[in-house]
Amino acid sequence: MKLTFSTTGQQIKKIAFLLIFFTFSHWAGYAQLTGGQLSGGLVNNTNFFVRDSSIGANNTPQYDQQLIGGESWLNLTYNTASVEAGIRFDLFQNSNLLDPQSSYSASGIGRWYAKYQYQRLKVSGGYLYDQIGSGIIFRAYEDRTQLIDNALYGVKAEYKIAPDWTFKAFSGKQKRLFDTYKTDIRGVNLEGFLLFDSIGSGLSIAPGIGVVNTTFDNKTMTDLVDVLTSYRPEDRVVPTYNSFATTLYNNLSWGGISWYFEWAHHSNNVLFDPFANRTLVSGAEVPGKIVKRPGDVLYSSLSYSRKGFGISLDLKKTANFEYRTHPLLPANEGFIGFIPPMGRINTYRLTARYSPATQFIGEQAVQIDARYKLDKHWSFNVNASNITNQNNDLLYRELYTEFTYKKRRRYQILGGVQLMEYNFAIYRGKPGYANVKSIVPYTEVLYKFSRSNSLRVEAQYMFTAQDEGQWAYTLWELGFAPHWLFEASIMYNVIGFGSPDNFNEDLKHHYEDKGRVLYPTLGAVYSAGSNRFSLRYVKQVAGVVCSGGICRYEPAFSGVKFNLSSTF
Amino acid sequence: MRILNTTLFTILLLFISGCKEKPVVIPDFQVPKGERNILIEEFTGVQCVNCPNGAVIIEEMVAEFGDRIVPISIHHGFFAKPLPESKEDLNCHCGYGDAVTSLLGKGPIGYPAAVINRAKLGSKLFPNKDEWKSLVLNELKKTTPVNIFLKSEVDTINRSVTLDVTLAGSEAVDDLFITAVLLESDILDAQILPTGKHDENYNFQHVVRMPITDPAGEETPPLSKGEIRQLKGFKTFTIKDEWDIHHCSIALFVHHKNTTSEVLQALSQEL
Repeated sequence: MKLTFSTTGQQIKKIAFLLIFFTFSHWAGYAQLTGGQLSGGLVNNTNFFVRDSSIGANNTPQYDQQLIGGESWLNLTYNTASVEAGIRFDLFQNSNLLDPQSSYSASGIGRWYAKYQYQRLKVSGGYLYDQIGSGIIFRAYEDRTQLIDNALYGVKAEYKIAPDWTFKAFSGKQKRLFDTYKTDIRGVNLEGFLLFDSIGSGLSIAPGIGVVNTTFDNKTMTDLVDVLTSYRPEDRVVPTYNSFATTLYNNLSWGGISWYFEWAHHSNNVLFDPFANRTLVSGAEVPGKIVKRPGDVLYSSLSYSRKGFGISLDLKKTANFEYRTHPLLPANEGFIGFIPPMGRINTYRLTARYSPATQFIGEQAVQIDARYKLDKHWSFNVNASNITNQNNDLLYRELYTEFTYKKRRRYQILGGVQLMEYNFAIYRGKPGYANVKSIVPYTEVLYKFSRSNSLRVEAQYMFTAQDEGQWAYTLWELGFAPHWLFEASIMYNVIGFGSPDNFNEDLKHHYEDKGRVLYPTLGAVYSAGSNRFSLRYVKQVAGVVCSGGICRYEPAFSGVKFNLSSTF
Repeated sequence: MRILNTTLFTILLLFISGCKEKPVVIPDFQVPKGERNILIEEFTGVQCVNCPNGAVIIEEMVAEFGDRIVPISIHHGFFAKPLPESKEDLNCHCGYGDAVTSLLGKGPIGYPAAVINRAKLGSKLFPNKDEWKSLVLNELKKTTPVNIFLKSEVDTINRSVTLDVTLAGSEAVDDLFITAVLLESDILDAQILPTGKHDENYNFQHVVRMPITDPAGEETPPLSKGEIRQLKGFKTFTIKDEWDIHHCSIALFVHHKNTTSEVLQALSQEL
C-alpha cells in the first residue's frame, strides 16, 4: 500500500497547520467554557471485491489482485463566536472512487481552513467551499459519490456593506486531489435582500451580481498552443490567458410565488467542443476540437404554492458554457461552475437508470412539477421534463406520475408510472444508437407493525426494447427502530419476454453476451445515536451514476460493502 | 459608506471590462528534427464506436512523420469482443495488453486511448486524442540515449523469421529492456463506425498478432556510452498460416521497466 503526500512544500505547510490546529484543539477544553466547540465526523467505505466476470466485475486491480479497497474522511471543526477552523484527513487505499476501473492510493490533509469574523468583516483561508448564485459561474463544492472536490485553495473576504448586503471577493486555485490545478481563479460577488413592506404580501427580492476571472498558467497555455499548432490553419483559434464570466441573478418572493432567475455569460473563451469537426491533413474529419466562443446560460425557476398545492416551472438554456480550469481536461474534471440539472432527480433504482447529464455545449430544457394534496390520505405528483440540444434534437423526455395514499400510523402506499425517452447516442457517446424508450411502473408500500417495527417493499419493472432490455427490481426492507434495518433486493435483467429468437438485434446480442442475469443485494444497517454502520453484499449492474447532472460510467460491482458514518 | 460603495463598484467595473492582453502566437507546424522515434500504443476494439476517429489521427501522424512513428493497435478489453459478423477475434489474447496496463499501473478509462512512449506526458498517462499529435511533436524533439537497429531474415517457405538486433549507446543506460511485437496491417474485418453502422470491411492497421519477446520485455545488461551490442539471432519465430506475411511488420523498442516504464527508442520494420 502506498501512502503519499503530494509535495514536500505542501507537506510542510500541512504539518505547520496541524500544529496550529491542535493548539486550537488543546484550547478546546478550555474554550468550551467560553463558548468554543469541537465537532467532527468520520466516514469510511470499505469494499471487498469478489470477482464475477459474468457481470463484468473483473479486470481491475481490485478484483484481480488487491481484493480490498476503500476510502475514509475524518474531519474536525473548531468553532467559537468569531473563529472557525477545520481540518480533514483523507485516506484512499486501493480506492475505485476516482476511477472505477483502476486503483488509487494516497493519503494526506484533504482540506484545512480557518475563518475569522470581526464585526462586518469575515476572512477565510485554506480550502474553501462557496458559490455565486446557483453556481453557474463559480461553485466550489464536494461530491464524494464521484470524488469531486472542487474546493478553492485560496483566500476569501466578505464584508457586510449594509445589514442585508454582502460583498465578497476571493482568489485561489481549484483543488485537485492533494494538489491544485495551475489556473488562477478569482472573483467578486455582491448580493443583497430587499423587502418591500409597503406593497404587502411580503414582496422581497434577493438580487446578486458576480464576476469570475481565470488566468491560465504558462504550462496550460503551452499545452494549448502545442495542440493548436497541430491543427490545420482553418481550425486554429488564438487562446487568451484571461477569461471572464459574469452572472446576474435574483430571487423574487411574493406571497406563494417564488421566482429565481439567473443569466450567466462568459467571454470569448477557448473550450473543447466534442461535436465540432476538425479537418486532418489527409482531408478526413474527426469530431472534437478546441474552439473559441462566448457562452451563456439562462436559468429560471418559477414556483407557486398554497396549502395542499404546489407547482413549479423550470427553464434553462445553455450555449457553449464549458467553463473549466483547462479546456482539455477529461470527464468531470476541473469545472469551475455548476449548471443546475433539469431532469427530475429520481430515487428508485429503475426510474433512475437513465438520467440526463448536463450538456455544456448546447441544451434547452423545460421542466414542470405539480403536487396536489387532496385530503389527509391522498396526494399526487406529476412531473414532466423535456431536454433538447441546440439543434432541437431530443436529448431527454420524461413524464413521471405518482400517487400516495397514507393511512396514519399504519401504512402508506405509493405508486405511479414513468415514461421516458433518453438519447443514448449523446449521453453514452455511442453515435448511431437508438434512443431508449421505457415505461416503468413502480410501487412502494410501507407497513408499520408497531411504532418501531416496519416493512418497506419496493417493486419496479422497466419495459424497453433498447439497450439491455427489460428489468425487474424489488426491495424488501425490515426496520426495527431505532437500531436495526435489514434489506434484501434483487434486480433481474429479463431482457425481453419469450424466446431470444423474437428479440430485436440489439437485445439478441445482449442476450448472447450476458444472458439473463440476477443482481442480488443483502444488507444490514445498525444505527446508534449519530453512528451508522452498514454491511451489504452487493451485485450491482454497470450503469451511469449521476449526481446533480454530473454523470459518469460505473462498472458492475460484485462483493461486500462496509460503510461507517459517524458524527460527534 | 458612499466612498466604499463607489470603490467597490469601480473595482467591479474594472473586473468586468478587463484589459486587452497581447495575443499568443500559434507557430506554423513543422516536423521537429530529432533522433527519437515515438511508440504509440493505441487501445482499441471493434465495438468501440469512436475508435476509428482515433485510428485516423494515428494514420495522419504516420503519413506526416513517417518511420518516426511506431504505432501499435492493441485490441483489448470489453470493446474488443468480436461482432457477430467478425471474421476473427482481433484481440490476440496473448497477454500483451495486460502486460502494458500492468507496466503502466493502470488501464485506460475510455476508448480510444493511447499511451505515448509509455510515459505520463502532460498531466495524463492516457491523453485526450486531440492531444496525441502535440505530445508526439514534443517527444520527437528529444534525443535518445540508445539507438536500435533491426535486421530480419524471412524464410517465406517455412514462414520463419530471425531477428538480429543491434543496440548503440550514446549515453550509459541501465534498467534496459527490449520488447518486440509482430503486427499485421490491412486486415479487413468488421468494426462499428462512429455513425453506429457496422463496416464489415474496415481496414485495420498495426494490429498486435503476438509478442515476439516476453510481452513485458526482456532484460539486457546495462549499456555503456559508445558501446555497440550486437544480439545476433535475438529471436526466431514462426508466422501463422492465417496471417498475411506481406502485411506483417515488427515493432521493436527498448525501454525501462523497473525505474519507469518509459520507452527510449522504437522502430518498425516490414517483413
